[in-house]
Amino acid sequence: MLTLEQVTKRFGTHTVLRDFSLTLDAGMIGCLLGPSGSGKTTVLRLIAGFETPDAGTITIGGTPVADARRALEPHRRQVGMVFQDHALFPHLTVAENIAFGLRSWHATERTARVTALLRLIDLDDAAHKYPHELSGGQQQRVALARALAPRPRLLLLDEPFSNLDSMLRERLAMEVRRILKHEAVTALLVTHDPFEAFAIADRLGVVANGQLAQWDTPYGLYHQPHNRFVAEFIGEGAFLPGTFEAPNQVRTELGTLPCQDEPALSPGDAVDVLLRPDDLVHDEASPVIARPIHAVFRGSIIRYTLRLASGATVLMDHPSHDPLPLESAIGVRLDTRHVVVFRRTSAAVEIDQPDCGCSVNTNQAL
Amino acid sequence: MAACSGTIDGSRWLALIGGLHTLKRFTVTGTPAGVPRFAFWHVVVAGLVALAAAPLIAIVASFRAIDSDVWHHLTAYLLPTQLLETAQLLLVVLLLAFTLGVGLAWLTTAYRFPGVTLFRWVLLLPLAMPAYVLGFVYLAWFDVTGSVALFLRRWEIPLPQVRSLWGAAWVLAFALYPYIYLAARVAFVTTSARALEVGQALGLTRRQAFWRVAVPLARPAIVAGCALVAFEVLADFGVVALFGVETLSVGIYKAWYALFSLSTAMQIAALLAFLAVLALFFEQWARKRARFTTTGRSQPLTPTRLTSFPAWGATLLCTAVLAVALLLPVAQLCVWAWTLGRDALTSRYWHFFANSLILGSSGAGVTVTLALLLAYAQRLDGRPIMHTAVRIATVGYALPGAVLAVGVVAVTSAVDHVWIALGRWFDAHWAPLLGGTVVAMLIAYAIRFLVVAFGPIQAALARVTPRMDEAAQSLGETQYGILRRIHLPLLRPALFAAAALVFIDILKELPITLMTRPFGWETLATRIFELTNDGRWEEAALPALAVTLAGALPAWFLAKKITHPTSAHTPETPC
Repeated sequence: MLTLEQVTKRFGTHTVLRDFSLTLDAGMIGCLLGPSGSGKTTVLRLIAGFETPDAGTITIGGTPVADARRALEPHRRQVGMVFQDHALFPHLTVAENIAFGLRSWHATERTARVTALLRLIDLDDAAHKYPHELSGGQQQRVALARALAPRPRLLLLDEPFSNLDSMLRERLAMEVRRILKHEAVTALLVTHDPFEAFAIADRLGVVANGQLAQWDTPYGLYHQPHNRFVAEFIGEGAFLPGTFEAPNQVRTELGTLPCQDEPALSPGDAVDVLLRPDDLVHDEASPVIARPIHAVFRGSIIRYTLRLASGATVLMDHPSHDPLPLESAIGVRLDTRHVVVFRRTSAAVEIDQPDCGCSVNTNQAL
Repeated sequence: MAACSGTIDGSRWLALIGGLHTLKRFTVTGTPAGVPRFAFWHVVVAGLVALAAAPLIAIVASFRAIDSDVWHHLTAYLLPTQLLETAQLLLVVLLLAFTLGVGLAWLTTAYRFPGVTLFRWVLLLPLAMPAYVLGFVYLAWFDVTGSVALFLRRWEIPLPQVRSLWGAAWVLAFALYPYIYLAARVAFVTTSARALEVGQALGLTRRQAFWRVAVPLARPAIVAGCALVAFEVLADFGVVALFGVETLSVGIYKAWYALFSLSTAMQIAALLAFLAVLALFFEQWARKRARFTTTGRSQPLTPTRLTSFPAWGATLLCTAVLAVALLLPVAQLCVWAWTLGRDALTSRYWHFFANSLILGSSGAGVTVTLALLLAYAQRLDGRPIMHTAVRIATVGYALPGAVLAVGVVAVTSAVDHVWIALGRWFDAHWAPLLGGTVVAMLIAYAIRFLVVAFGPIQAALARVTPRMDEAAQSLGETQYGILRRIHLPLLRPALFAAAALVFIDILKELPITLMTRPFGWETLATRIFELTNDGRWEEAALPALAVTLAGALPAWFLAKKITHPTSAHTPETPC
């Protein structure tokens, strides 16, 4: 449905995107994650046509819409966009905003479409209100309905929840997913919040230094990150020192574990093992002893920081009904099918390597 | 503008309020994609910069041709007096207006007393009164043959000479204090609540908190307000001419009409322009700092309730200021207009009225068009050089009308020289193109009032974010469709507001009208000036009331704006 091939974009001397490639299948909701300034919004603006690429090709539904020489004007692309600040037209009512892109439709169809969308976003009674009379969440839904109204081939959402308070975000993300799925639209959104992305997306990727570091399912991104940057950007965790023993095996003080096959590593190499807080469980039968040194209450669970015998620290989630006394010795064991290892180097090196795109990676695998 | 006239002109007001309000929201944006960078915009901006700069350059260039006889007379007798009187007037007006403005602002912000909610905005209304109107009413009362003066003399109460610097200062201070009142009140309301509480929590009394927290916090805004008052005093022509004060503005007029030396007039104008630019720097500097004190939301200050004697004292004080600045003079004007009755409404009056209308509406049309072009140019090209260009193009609001008048006359006559020479080259006798025509007046007005129109238009245009353009584009709308369906509806109220403000300013304008009008042209403002010069107060009352009523419009609008600052953010009242 949507393909970006080797897209490069420069602003002056600053290269924002470098050989950026991405494929999104019809009906999927994709999500680009990344720190601010990583170029993820530029990807959306290139697809929408507000910017033109310096190199590479953008194809929507099999038709090329932009390359280095030609670009289809934004208003001919049939690509809807929801903006971070919603950009609702302040002089038009909710219904008029939604109907904005339906000018060429027959009047009865237009009315029917607006009514249907108002019901879909659950704002039937706000049709004649003005944008400033709505709450942030309502404005956000109107912006979504406005963009969906002309049935675009592709919908882009730029940080759609960043202007809303955090309580609202996850609920709205699920709500938006329901609406997008109902409309069966292909969508690509951009955010810096991994959990928002998990709530909404089928496929997601991390943008770093103008490239797509990994394009994967939420599970893959969280539990099988291709590099340290992705591992650190998505969720919490700790790196435990270990030794690479043989293909598929790593030895740590928690035991010898299955890991990914890593051709770049040879037995005896020092590695770091990524452990998520849910990879460890409390088990008094386990021979491995750890001491909880810090606890953060998180509602259903408590997240403990554990100090191991070697002095290394790891994180562990544990049900909050069963608090563990701090500084006491407890037994822990790993509860994971396999772990991800990285060669022990300075963390920044990997993402700076030019070939760390989504396919090949020195430290990675699976 | 007002100035000259003295009063308020919406412009400075808007410049001030706009500065305070829009700084928060205004973000510099680059060129929206899909909008071609027409060289056209750059030509427009370059043209406007040249237009604003030409009179100034002409004035400075006048030093090449020094008329030695007049120059000697000028430096020996005229300039020292004019400089001294200007400085004295400035100082006295600033002191008095500062006391009135800051004092009333604090009183109405920090205390509750009978009528305070009314006083909060009504105290702004003296803005509606052109200073020269207020001036002639006071002259009619207190001059040697004035009604009050005669009454007092019967009781052998000595009366100071009103036709003096002190009289002019009194009138100007009461006409101009609202600038400082507005600036201080906005600052007190938006900044001091939390800070004051901190001060009080640290053990300051209310009074100490005022001097040690509120005033220092509001200082940038107050300085900006004082700078506006300074512009007006430097620019004032009507009041000082009436009260016989020899300021630089009057000097320019006299050099031209009494000494018949345009170059001398321009040399005095250069001096005055220098002082105005000094005030401008002061204002810009203060405005820049004001942005730090207005960011962030703050709780409104909870006013302390005054009781018994202090409460009635406060009410009495506010009423007295209003009476002096507005109520009594307007009542007097009404009485005069009534006694003269229909006699005043001769066909000649309709003629002056028509002239004022024609000038005002064509001037508003030209100025709003130019301001719209300038605002779009700035939107389409957000580079810093564009901001500098906009500043220069709108500098006219700081230039006293008399300065601008001589500058524009110098430029138009230079153009006419070339034009006539060109005609001779073709063996034809061409009449002057610009000099002594309404076109020259319109150019001068456009330079002077460009910022009045630019402020609201730019603020409205800033609300049309580049994202809205992009949203419309992604919904399939073309460039032309975006202008028609998004920009025009959103700008329309601001365009009307801008046109109304410029219209009213031109209606009240005195020195430019007086010095650049075609021979024999009379408007309401020049008519008031000539009648009052002859002491025919009653006859001047009707046109003066008309001008005052017209001025009440922007004053009302501003008063509403500060009482309900939130309304500025709702789309229905985008101005």
